[in-house]
Amino acid sequence: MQPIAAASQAPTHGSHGPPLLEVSGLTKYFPVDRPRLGRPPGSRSQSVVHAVDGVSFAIQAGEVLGLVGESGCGKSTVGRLILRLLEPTSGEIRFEGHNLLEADRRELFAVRRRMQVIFQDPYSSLNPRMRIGDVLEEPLLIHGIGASKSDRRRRVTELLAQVGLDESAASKYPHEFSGGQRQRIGIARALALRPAFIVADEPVSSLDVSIQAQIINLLEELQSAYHLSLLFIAHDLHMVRHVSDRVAVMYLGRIVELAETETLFTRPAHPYTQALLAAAPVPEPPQPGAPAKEPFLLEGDPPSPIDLPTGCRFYSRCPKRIPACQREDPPLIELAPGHQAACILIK
Amino acid sequence: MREFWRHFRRNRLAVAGGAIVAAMLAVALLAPLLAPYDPSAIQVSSILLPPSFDHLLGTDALGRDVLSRMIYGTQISLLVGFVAVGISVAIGIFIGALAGYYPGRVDTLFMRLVDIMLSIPTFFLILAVIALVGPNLINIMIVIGVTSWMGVARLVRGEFLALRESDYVSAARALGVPAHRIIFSHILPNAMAPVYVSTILGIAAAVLVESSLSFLGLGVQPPTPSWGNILTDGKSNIEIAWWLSCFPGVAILVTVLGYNLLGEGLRDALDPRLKK
Repeated sequence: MQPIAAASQAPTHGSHGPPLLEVSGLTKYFPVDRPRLGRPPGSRSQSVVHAVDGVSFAIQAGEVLGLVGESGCGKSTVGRLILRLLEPTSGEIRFEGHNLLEADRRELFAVRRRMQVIFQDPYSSLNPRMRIGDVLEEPLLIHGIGASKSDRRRRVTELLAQVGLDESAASKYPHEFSGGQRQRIGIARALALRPAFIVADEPVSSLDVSIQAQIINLLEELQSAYHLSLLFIAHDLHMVRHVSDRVAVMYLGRIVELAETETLFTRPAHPYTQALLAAAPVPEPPQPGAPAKEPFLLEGDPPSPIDLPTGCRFYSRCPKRIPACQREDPPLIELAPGHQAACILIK
Repeated sequence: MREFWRHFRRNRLAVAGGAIVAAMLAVALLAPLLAPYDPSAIQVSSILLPPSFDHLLGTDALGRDVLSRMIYGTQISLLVGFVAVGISVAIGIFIGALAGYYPGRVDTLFMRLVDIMLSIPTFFLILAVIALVGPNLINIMIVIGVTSWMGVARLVRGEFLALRESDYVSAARALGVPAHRIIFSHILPNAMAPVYVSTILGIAAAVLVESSLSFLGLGVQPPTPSWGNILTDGKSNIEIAWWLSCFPGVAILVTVLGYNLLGEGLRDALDPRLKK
């Protein structure tokens, strides 16, 4: 695997000053075989899952970056790596001037206040044995916010109000709430420490469609009210288009295209992005008689992230492949200011 | 919780087990009120009397009332059961929690320790240790406790391995919640269900071990009555006084059965997936 040429110059599109978060060459390999009995110690087998393989991007203060891709492409792993919930194999994460991979425990603890997460599944993201009030008070307690219990309780009430929940919710347990309400609680927890940046890991994918819009609107309101930066991980393209300022498309652990939302949706450069957009359901189907859109659907599954193909990772499913694709692993190159894609056809 | 009761009540054997356990607890607590005689009052005029209305379960070789001795023996058996299991559950939770939360070296170290402990025939280890430190109530409870925590440790470790990956634990880590707080206030309360079952089953095992030790003379020492040492007295007179060995034996059997039925009933009620 060759290094990505553009990786060193992470996009600083539309920036004034350094970005809030800058990720470069982020890589996470999961070993698949553990050392077995009888083998000499240290001789691990070489098989690894290339979950994230050299991902670079930057997020400005107040910006929403959408991250899309199929299941298993590594998008959630990217979020967890940034939050330091997983240990990266290599790469660099800079956040508000801190190098997160070299931060000591105290520095990391301080950064945690500025960087929070909202999870996909509201049923597993709340501790079933903790009252909502305690869930929301815990971060305040740990970070020494609020001088007294009543101070913290006031803040809990405020947080509940921000996400549209009643004060009485504080004394209830998670199972007493619906999925949408639980997700609101998850958002309140993420806001408790007044962070600058939130990783939203498919925050609405497991909710009813009718609830999705409410939660998205809430997120948008809070985002603009607090000038939050979001890494919005999703697979619903319409949702991403609606929410994001810029969008990054991932395939098999790599970013294959990154552009401003409108550019990406109107002039996608990478065949994978084009295929994704073609596969997305259209809200208004074409009228009968109108020229039918050319079907452009992907077939088959992505190759195994354990045994990566040589050359372009998308080769096996690409409708535009040429023999050269199998020889060269295309780097992410800039086609226009702020628009990058990794395909040898777009030189 | 309501679901749990529904499942539990439907299981008649478990309810019977619960009733036995409750009855034994009542007997132990109310021993001074229930016992018709002083359990250590020697009465030379009434040696080895068969069961009668005066002495419902007969008398032993020293003329002591067997029923009264067994009622007080209930106290000893349950005390040993509870304290020994308390010790073993505490050790098991601690080791299991650390092993499950810190995969890698800590986990390997503790789990190999479990393997080593499990490879030693526990009863003989207990015998050897008791022979060294001397048989008294406290030693017995401690020794049973420190030789029976392995099952709990494995259970707790398994629960921790699963729960440490859950989103609410990730959320706590992202908030900067310190590890000890994640282990004890986030994961542990959600990992306790199988521990309750194991505790109940553990009490049955501890009661049995205590009785065996006392029977061999390495347990509770006479004149303190325990089911095991009443049984020992019965052994020497078994041809002429069947009641001396029969009743403590039945008491041990019923108690162990009661705890096991209750434990298994709890397991089924807590985890309906195991039900066929």
